[in-house]
Amino acid sequence: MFNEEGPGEPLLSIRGLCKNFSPGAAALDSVNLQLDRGRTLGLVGPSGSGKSTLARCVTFFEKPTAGEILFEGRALWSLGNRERLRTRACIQLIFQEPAASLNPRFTAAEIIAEPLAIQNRGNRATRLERACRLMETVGLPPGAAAKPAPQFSGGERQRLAIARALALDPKLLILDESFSGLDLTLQAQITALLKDLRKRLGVTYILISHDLALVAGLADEIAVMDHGRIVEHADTAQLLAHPQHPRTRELIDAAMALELP
Amino acid sequence: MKYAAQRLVHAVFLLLGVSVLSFLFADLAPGDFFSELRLDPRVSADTVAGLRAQYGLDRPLPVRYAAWLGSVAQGNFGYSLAYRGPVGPLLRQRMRGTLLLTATATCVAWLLAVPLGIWNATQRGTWRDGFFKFVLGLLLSIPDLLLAIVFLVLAVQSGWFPAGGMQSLDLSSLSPVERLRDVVWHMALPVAVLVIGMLPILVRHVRASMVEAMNAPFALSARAHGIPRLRLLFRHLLPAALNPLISLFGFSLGTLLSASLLIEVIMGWPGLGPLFLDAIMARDFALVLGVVMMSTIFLVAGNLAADLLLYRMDPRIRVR
Amino acid sequence: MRRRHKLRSILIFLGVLHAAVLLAAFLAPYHFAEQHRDFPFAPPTRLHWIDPAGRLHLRPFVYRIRQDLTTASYKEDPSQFYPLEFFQQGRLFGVPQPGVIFLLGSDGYGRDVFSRVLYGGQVSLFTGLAAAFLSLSLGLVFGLTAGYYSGWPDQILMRSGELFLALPWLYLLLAVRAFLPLHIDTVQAFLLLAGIIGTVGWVRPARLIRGVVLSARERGFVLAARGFGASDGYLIRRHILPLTFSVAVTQATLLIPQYILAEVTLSFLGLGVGEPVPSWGNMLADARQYHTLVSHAWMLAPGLATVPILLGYLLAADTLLEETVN
Repeated sequence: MFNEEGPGEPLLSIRGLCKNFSPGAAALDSVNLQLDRGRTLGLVGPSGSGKSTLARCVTFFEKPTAGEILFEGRALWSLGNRERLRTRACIQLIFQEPAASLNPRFTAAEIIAEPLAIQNRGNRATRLERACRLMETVGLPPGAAAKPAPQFSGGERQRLAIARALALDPKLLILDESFSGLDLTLQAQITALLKDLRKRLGVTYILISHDLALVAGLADEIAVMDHGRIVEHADTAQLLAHPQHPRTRELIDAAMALELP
Repeated sequence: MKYAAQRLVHAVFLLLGVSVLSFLFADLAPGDFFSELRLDPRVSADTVAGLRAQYGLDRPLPVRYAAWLGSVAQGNFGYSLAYRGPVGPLLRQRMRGTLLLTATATCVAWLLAVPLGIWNATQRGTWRDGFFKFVLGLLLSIPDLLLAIVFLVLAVQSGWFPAGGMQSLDLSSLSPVERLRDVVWHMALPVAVLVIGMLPILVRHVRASMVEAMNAPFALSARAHGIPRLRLLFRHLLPAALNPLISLFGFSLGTLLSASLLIEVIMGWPGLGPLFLDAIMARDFALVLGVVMMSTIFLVAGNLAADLLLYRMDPRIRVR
Repeated sequence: MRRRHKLRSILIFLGVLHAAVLLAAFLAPYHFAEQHRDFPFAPPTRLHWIDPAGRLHLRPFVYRIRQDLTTASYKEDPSQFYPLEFFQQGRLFGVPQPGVIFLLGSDGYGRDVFSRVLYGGQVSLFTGLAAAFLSLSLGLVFGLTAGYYSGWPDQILMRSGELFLALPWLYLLLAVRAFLPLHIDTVQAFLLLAGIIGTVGWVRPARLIRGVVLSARERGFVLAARGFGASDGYLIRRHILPLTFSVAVTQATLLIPQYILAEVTLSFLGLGVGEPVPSWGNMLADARQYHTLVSHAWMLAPGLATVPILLGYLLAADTLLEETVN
């Protein structure tokens, strides 16, 4: 789970990333970002600031207009097909609406085992076994493996999505607004789960949200985005104590309206 | 206006496309008008070849198509080998018959369907509703073919209605009013069959549209305001229900024409149907093509009219 | 749940009708081409249980019938009767010769209408089913391609679909039929009819499936699977295709009755299956001479046979559509 390269090299390195959907409308404007292994980055900003676009560029869903993304030192978008497949296993994206990302006709086990099936790992028996173990990891009863997705509650479906994302042993896990639909209790539960997984598996996270409060409890460092650019990037404590950019201050003020952990 | 122009251009392209494809397909067809002749041992192959050349059947495809287009521009639509004359006049004459039949049937069907549908919409949930649905379903399950034959037999047996044709033989001696009555008398049975065929679907749609309109927020609030029922019906509900019905008209036009084809053939009404069948049996491809184009024009024009009507009536579409 | 039961009853009903037709060789007392020249246009034979002496027989029987040559009508001759026999010569029931049992009367050649309706049903029903299968398959292939890949496959599909829909359906069918050989033998006729009816009707199923695929393509679980590196083939097979099934089934219940009627119409007009093989269409063509119909109403039997079939499919379609709406 920990790779062989030197500790000094960042896991993810983004340089000068640009993405234009139409001429003149830049979703990403020369973004620079580095993330070290094992760290948790909180990516915050208002709607439309480019957070999701960034996530999609890193996970092969959107092709950048310019700039480069290096994962473990290799340029992401220059990879060949087989390499890309392997890299997809290393970087996983969890969507905003976990319920929508689960096929209602699939059982829990089928959902979790799907990445393994797609990447042709193991056989049906080993995949099922791994699915059950992953269910335990995220705190779901393995006995529910044969239940179809709609029979799980909202919070449980979140866990299913996370379990599925873990199936391929990813090194980087990106959660895009994954907490937005949940109530505070569930948010706390999922936060606890993520902390636990981080401790056990050493996963690197990028947490994307428009809500600073949500992210601050989990993130080691926070990057603030506005209009496609990263306007501030610092360690969490530093950022909260001495915000530099007006946007950051706005977000902190908004978070103060609810309790900060 | 711009919308109308766009739709018109689109329609023309559609017609051209159909004509090209038909021409191509006809070309692939084994045999032609003179094939039967070839089978006759008394006629030599040379004679047949000569006939083919005489009527230009041996020219290359693009040439024939261009010649046909020219003929269309002049209103002739090519030359019918079976009828020995231009196709155009035949089409126009028969087109009138089909138009008369289908237009009358549509009017009668709508005049019946709208009140029936409205009445039915108000009957939701009662036993009458279920019974009515059953009757409609049964009517829908009776094929036009069967109905036409039965009606024809009844007509012949009872003598109440003529057994075919559009007008009686001694037409010239009748006054205009009597002539009209004569046509109506001839038309009654074919129209009846068409109407019975159309009614179930139409009533269903009217009912569904009415129910939807009745339950719409604007209708419920109007009722809450105390607007009297009839006024509500005519000034508010019907216009709202009209849109899907106009769309339905566009959709059902094709089915109507198809039904008309069969009924014209069975009941001897001089429309495009019997002409088409004659052309097919005689392998008179120019005539087949002519009928195909005529029916396409009819359908495309009908749909265009429905589209434009919808566009004018529904402000929501215009915003697009 | 009530709908499930309703659907099941309707399907059982339809199944019985189709099975009856399939088992024509067993259920019909006569072969479809078997002629009884002595009994043209005989009315439906009546079954009796009580003989002239007033005794009750457990096995029903029929009287010999004689044709009155002056009036051409038939009378029963009580002096001769023939009890029904069962399971003789591979057929469910029959009567020993020279008795005849025409449950629905006989036609101009003395052929049993009941038997011919059963045999004819094979042609009409299964042409309809085969054509519907063809339409749906084509619709599936084209709809999937257009919906999934968009771009020019989609454009081609939409434009060519418009061309097919520009003509009224029966005109299109007849036009295609017109350009094919007029005289064809039975096996060819069946394949040809099913082929053209099915091919000509690909557009509506294709458009519907295209619609389903377009929305399915954007579903979260499809995107997620793509994120794991799923190929197009996998996505279509595992996620998108299952979503098209309910649309396909509903379409089938709408198309099959239409296509059955298409075969009947074509055969009726002389452009389909011909003598001596019966189809409900060509049997109705016989009935078209109204001098026969007035006195021989049973010749309409093939037409009446279509009614329960159409009704069954109509009810099935309604039930399925209700389900999807709710």
